[in-house]
Amino acid sequence: MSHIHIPDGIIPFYLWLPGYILTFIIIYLVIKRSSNEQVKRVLPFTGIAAALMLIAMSVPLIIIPVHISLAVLTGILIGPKMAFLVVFVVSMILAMFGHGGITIVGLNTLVIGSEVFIGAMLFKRLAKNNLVIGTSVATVMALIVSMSMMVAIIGTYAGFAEVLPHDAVEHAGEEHLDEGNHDDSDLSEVVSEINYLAFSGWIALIMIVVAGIGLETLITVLIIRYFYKVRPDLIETVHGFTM
Amino acid sequence: MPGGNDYTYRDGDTMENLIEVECLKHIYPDKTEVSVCGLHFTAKKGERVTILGPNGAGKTTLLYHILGLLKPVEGKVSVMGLEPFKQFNELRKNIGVVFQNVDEQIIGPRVYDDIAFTPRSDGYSKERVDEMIRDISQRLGIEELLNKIPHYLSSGQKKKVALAGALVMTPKLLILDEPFDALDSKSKREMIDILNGVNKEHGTTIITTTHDINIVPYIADTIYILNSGSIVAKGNTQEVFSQSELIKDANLETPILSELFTRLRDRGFEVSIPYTLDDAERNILKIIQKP
Amino acid sequence: MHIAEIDNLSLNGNSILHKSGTISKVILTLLILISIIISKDLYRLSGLISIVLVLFVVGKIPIVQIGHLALYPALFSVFFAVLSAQQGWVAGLVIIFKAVGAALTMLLLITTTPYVDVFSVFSLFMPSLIVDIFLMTYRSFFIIADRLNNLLTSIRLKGGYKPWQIVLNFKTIASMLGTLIIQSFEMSERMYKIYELRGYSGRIPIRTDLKPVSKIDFLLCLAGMIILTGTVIPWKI
Repeated sequence: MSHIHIPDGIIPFYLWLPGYILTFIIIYLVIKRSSNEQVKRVLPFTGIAAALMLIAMSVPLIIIPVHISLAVLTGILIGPKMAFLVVFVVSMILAMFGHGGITIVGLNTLVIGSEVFIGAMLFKRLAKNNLVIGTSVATVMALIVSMSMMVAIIGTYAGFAEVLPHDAVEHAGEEHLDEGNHDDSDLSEVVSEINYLAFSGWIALIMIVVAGIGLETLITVLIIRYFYKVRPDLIETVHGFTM
Repeated sequence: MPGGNDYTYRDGDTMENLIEVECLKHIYPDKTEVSVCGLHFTAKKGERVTILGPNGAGKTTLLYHILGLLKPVEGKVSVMGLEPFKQFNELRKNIGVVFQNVDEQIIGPRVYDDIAFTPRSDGYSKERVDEMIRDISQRLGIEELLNKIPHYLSSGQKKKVALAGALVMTPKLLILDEPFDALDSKSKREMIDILNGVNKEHGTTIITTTHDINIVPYIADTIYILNSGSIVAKGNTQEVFSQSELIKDANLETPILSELFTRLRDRGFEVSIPYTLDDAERNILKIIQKP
Repeated sequence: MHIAEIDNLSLNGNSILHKSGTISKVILTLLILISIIISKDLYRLSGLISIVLVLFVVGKIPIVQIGHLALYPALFSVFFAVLSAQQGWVAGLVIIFKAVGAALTMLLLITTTPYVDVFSVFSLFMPSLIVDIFLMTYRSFFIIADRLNNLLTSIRLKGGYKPWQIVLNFKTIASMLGTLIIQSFEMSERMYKIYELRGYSGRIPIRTDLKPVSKIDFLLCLAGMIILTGTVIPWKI
């Protein structure tokens, strides 16, 4: 759920350039290490997963000003390597629309890519024993790591104290961290305003972050469980285990 | 609609079978079992075969087996003397396919790229590909679409693009799953003309599936009726259409012309039952012009 | 998303920008982007944004129709602008101008150049697998958007959507997504089979013979150079 909506020209080049370079190195390694056969098989679903991510990121979930990204889910379904490529492509397409700057694509890929890698790796280890708990832990951990990375990146720009909520930046901060509610529906905005009034500063921020993590986790768990019921073969072949 | 019943194939024809299918069974990953049993399914070189049946009868399953996309757990499939599932790569070059949902088969970002997909993947030279695409797009009347992006086309145009992609390599066998679905009547007529033209010119064997019984006489030499996983009837239009009980059992509507002329017959007119519009016209003229 | 809207502009536009080559437009875009990113004062940024706006006029792009897409970066940049406000309001404005300018430049590219062409430029320097994923994503987006629309309609018709019942909505959304993903997965299996039948060898061949280079292309590249130079050199007024 955490991609960086930082526009161009804010993050200095000594941060975004290494971001790009590291991203390209990982892409190179991923491509080098995947066999043509494997790639051929998953390519159609990879495109679909990317399209789903794009769509998920543009569907606001009423009232709560967050949207889900399905990154961990994508990592679990198509494997972390292909999912990393998907994250790059999705970030690039979003950047073309002005959702985040073009210079930030590298960093964005790394942040969401970490979510994908950690989520899929933990899933592989944990889901064997208990699908629901395994998926939940994997998703929550992945989200916490990627959010920390995001805060760290913004932090290097602003200095850590600035990232934490001040009264003056509180609203904008929430808008930023939680991707804002892109829908213009007035009602939901009014309700959000009420929420912000009720909880100030830290509490509001924490509430929203927790709600965001909870939502993404719940959706990921529900979908994985459903998927496992209908098509266990898929998850088993991607992660090489049976239950 | 144009006629096209120039060929009549009968059981016992000496020509060799291009396709032979015997009682198939397949188990999907979600453990659903699908079988296609009953009469043997065969298709000869240059024959136009239509598989008629309601939704869920097993038409697509049968096609998937012929295409080598499914591995039969039981039964036998042979296409051009090969086993489709095992000898997929040898076979696929001789087969052109148009699936029901053409959106799923269009790969190229532009119409040109899509039609060029197979020849380019097979390593044809740029000039040769250009030539092939010019030919096929002229034949289907889609030259103006070549530079367009597929998902902005109408469903009729998309079907034509998919058909062009299937025909560009001049396959020996053309397989179309519900090619007339979601087409308006003008596009249907065009599609029928194109298919019959290809069949006549190149002797291409054409297998179609449909649940639209009224279209069958225009596109089929041989008709199979498939009902809940079983081939219950086989024959030419006349033979199959006269088995009205079977047609009703399979939840298909009765062919409108047969129904009309049966009623006329019941009223005492001496008419034979027509299957195509041309025949019907002739029959009616006969009645009218009778002194 | 506004992909269809933007496609419409880029595919059906007939301005000089639409007719010029993709590579020259990408080069121009990059040069303007670099100029915007390295600019540090409001004058230069205003100048650059004006140039971009003029190019929108040249490209006959209705800025009102797509301008709202530049509002997202404007909104998000406010946060950073506020952070920088302690260095004075000019610093804050610079940030907002940079964000909006960069976003407008990207929008200029994608409204005058069809995606497919942008991707085909990518194919000159990116691994083919990445380009294939771009193409597949673009195709899948429309197929899935259609399905999602159908699903949403059927859920609304069945009364599954109630604006104020979050839990119910949530359940509906989850099961809708579940259905959509399973269906999509099954579709992707069919697609893979069809691609195999069509001779898929592990990459999607596309046309990369980009339009022949014309005078306009040189002019665009030249304009880009001049803009960048103009940004770099000190101006004395």
